[in-house]
Amino acid sequence: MGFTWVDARYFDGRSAQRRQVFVSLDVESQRLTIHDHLGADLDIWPLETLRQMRDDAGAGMVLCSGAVDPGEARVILANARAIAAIKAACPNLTKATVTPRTWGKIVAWVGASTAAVALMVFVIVPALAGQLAVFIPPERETRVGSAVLRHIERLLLDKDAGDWRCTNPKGQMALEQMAQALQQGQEFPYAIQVGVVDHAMINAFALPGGHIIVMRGLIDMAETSDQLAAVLAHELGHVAQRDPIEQALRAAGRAGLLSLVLGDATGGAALALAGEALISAKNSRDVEARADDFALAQMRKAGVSPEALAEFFELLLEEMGNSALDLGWISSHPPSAARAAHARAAVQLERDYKKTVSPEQWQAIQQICAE
Amino acid sequence: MTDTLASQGEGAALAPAPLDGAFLTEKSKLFWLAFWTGFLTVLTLGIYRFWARTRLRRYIWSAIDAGGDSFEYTGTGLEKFLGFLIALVVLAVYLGLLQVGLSFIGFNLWGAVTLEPSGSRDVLIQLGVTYVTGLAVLPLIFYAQYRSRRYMLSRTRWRGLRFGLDAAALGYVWRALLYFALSLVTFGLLIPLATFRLEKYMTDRMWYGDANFEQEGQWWGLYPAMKHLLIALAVLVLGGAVGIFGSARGLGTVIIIAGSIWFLCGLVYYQVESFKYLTAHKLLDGTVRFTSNASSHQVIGICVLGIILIAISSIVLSVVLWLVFGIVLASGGSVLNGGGAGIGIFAGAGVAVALVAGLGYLASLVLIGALVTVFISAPILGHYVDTLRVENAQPLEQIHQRAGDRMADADGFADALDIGGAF
Repeated sequence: MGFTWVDARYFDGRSAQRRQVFVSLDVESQRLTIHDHLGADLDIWPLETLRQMRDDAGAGMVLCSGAVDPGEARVILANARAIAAIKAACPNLTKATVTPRTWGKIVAWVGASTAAVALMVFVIVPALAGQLAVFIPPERETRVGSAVLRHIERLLLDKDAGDWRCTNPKGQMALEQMAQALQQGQEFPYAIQVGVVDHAMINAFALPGGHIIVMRGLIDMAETSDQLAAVLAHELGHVAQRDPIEQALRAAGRAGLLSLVLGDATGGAALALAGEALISAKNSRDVEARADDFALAQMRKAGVSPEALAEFFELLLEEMGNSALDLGWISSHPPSAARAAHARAAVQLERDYKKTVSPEQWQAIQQICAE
Repeated sequence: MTDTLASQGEGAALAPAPLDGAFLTEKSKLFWLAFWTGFLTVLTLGIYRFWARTRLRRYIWSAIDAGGDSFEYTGTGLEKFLGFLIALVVLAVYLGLLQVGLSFIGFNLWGAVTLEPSGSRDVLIQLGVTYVTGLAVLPLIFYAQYRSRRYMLSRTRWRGLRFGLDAAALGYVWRALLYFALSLVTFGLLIPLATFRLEKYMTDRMWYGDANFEQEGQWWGLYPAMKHLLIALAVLVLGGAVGIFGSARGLGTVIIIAGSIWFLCGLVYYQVESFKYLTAHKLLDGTVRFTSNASSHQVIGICVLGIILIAISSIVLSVVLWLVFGIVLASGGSVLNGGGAGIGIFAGAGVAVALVAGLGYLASLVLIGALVTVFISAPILGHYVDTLRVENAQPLEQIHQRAGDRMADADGFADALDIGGAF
C-alpha cells in the first residue's frame, strides 16, 4: 500500500534549513518521492536504498537513502500510517551492507594489528631487554636483587614466623662448597650468594645480582646431593646469562599490554592474567633450555653425573601428578621427558662421576633449617 | 505535531525566537538498550563494546532535541573497532619501548637510592621512578581526549549539518600539559586558567557546518565558580587544626567529613558554573549566542537520588542472587547435574555453584552499569540539555554543510586508554 502527500520534515544535508515537505510512496515504481510545499519534486529515493536510523529515541521515523553509506539528506516522518506503509514496502530498511572491500579491510587490520602486537611482545621487547640488560652495572643489579629479595620476604613471610632464612652454619658451608664446585672455570659478573629459606614449596630461583634462593621443600624432595647440585647448576646458568634482570625488563615491556587489548570489559582482567602467563611461558622455554645446557657443562667440569638432572626432572614429573598446588619450580620450569632425555644424553658411560659434597655434608644441608 | 512544527518553523523565520533544548528519553527503553548491549559486550569478551557504545550514543543523541529537531549520531561500531586496532598497535609499540626504557633507567638509578629509603630525597626519587610511566602516558591521554572530541563532533549532525573540530591535537597536548603542570604547582589555584584556555582552544576550532564557534570571556571569570571548593578547603583546614591543636579529635573528624562532602559538592558546583560561564560566552558564526541555566542543586540531587536507587536495587539483587545461590548449593547441584554417584556429584555441584556465582556476578555488573546510565549519566546530560537555550536561532538557517572528517583511527586511543565520559 502506498500513500501520497504525507507531511514530513526534510533536511537536504547542504544547509541548516528545515523544510516542510510532502512525501509519496509509490510501491509500483518502488520509490519514495519528496515534494516541496509547491508540489515540485525535491528528491526521489528508490525503496531498495531506503534506510531507517536505528536506536532512535524519537517517536517518528528518520529516513535516509544509501545502500552502503547513508546519504546526506534526511526525511523525518511522524505519521503512523505512513511509517507502517514504509515498513511494509521496504525490506531493506534496517539492512547494514558490509561490502567485500570492508571485509577485506577488517581482516587486514585484525591481522596486521595482531602481528604487530605479537612482534612487539615476542621479538622486539625480548631483544631489547637482552641488549639493555648487559648495560646495567652489576653492582646496581645486586642492589635491585636485594630489594626484590626483601619484597619476596614480605610477600611470603607471616609477620610472626620469625627468621625464615635457614642459617645452620654446617649446612650453609656445605651448600657454598657445592655452589663453588659448580662455578669452576666460569666468570660471574658478581659474587654468588646461595641461601635456603624455610618454606615447604618445591622451588628455587635466581634473582638479579647473583642471589640464588632454594626453598626447603626442594631440598626435602631431592633424593641425592647430586640432584640439588643439578638444580643449583641450572640456577647458576640463569645468573651467568643475566636472565633474571632480562626477565624483569621483558615483564615491564609487556605489562598491561593485554589489558589494553581486552579493555575494561567484565572478566577481561582474568583473561589478561591467563594471557600473561602464557606469554611468559613461551618466552621462558628457550631461556630454560640454555640454563639446562649451562648446568650440564658445569656439572661435567665438577664431575657430577648429568644423570642427576634427568632424575630430578623425573621426580618433578611424578610430583606433578600428586599435588595440584604449590607447584613452584614446576610451573616456572616445566619439566618434560624431553629435557630429562637431553640431560641423560650427556652422561659419559666410561667416566667415573663423583659427588660435590660428602655424605655428612649432604646431611648437614638437609638439616640446614633445623635449629 | 507536524502542524505545530510547521508554524514554529515559519515563526522562526519571521522573528528571531530563542530555541530551547529538550532531552526526550524513555527510561525503560534506555535501560533495555544499555542492559542488552552490556550483556552482549560480556558475551563477546568485550569486542561488542564498540558497537554497544555506538548504539547508546545513537539513542542518546536522537533524544537531544533543539527547537523540535533532534541530533543524530552517525558513527559506526565498525569504524570504532578498526580505530581501536590502529591505536592498539601504536600504543603497544610506544608503551612497550617506553616501559623497557624506563625500567632500564630505574634499575640503573637504583644505586642512587639507598636500600631502605631513609630521607625524603630517596622517597622522592623512588616515587619519581614509579610515576614517570604514568606521566609518560599523560600526553597520550590528552591526545586521545582531543581526538575523541573531534571524532564525536564529526559524527554529530543537527538539521542535517555536521559538527567538526580542526585537526589540531598536538597543539592541545602541549597546552594541556603546560596548564596541568601550572595547576599542580599552584595547588589548584590556576585550575580556572587551565579550564578556560583548554576550552577556548577547542571551541575556537569547533564548527557547526561552515560556521565557526568562538570562546569569549576571561579566564578569571571562572573564579566565582571556585567558591565552594575554596570554602570546603577552609573547612578541611579548620577540621585538621581543631583535631591536631584543639585536642578535640571527635569534633575535628566531624568537621573533616563535612568538609569532604562540601568539597565533592564544590566540584559539581565548579563543573556546572564553569559550564554556564563558558556557554554564555560562546559565539557561533559571530552572531548566535547561548545560555545555560543548569543548576548544581539539580545535578547533585540527581546524583544522590541515583546512588540511593542503585544501592537499593543492588541490595535487592544480591538478596535474590544469594537465594538462588543457596538453592543451588542446597540441592547439591543435582538440578543442573542430573545426579550421579560419589565424586561426580561434588564435582557437578562445584561447577554449578561456580557457574551461578560467576553469571550472577557478571549480570549484576551489567545491570549496575545500565542503572548508572539510566539514573545518573543520562539524567545529568538531560538536565544540561533541558536548560540550554540558543538565544537567536535565525542566523542558523544561513549555515551550510562542511566536508566529512574521515579519521581512520576514530576514537580508538580513548577506547584503548579507557578515557572518555559516560557516553
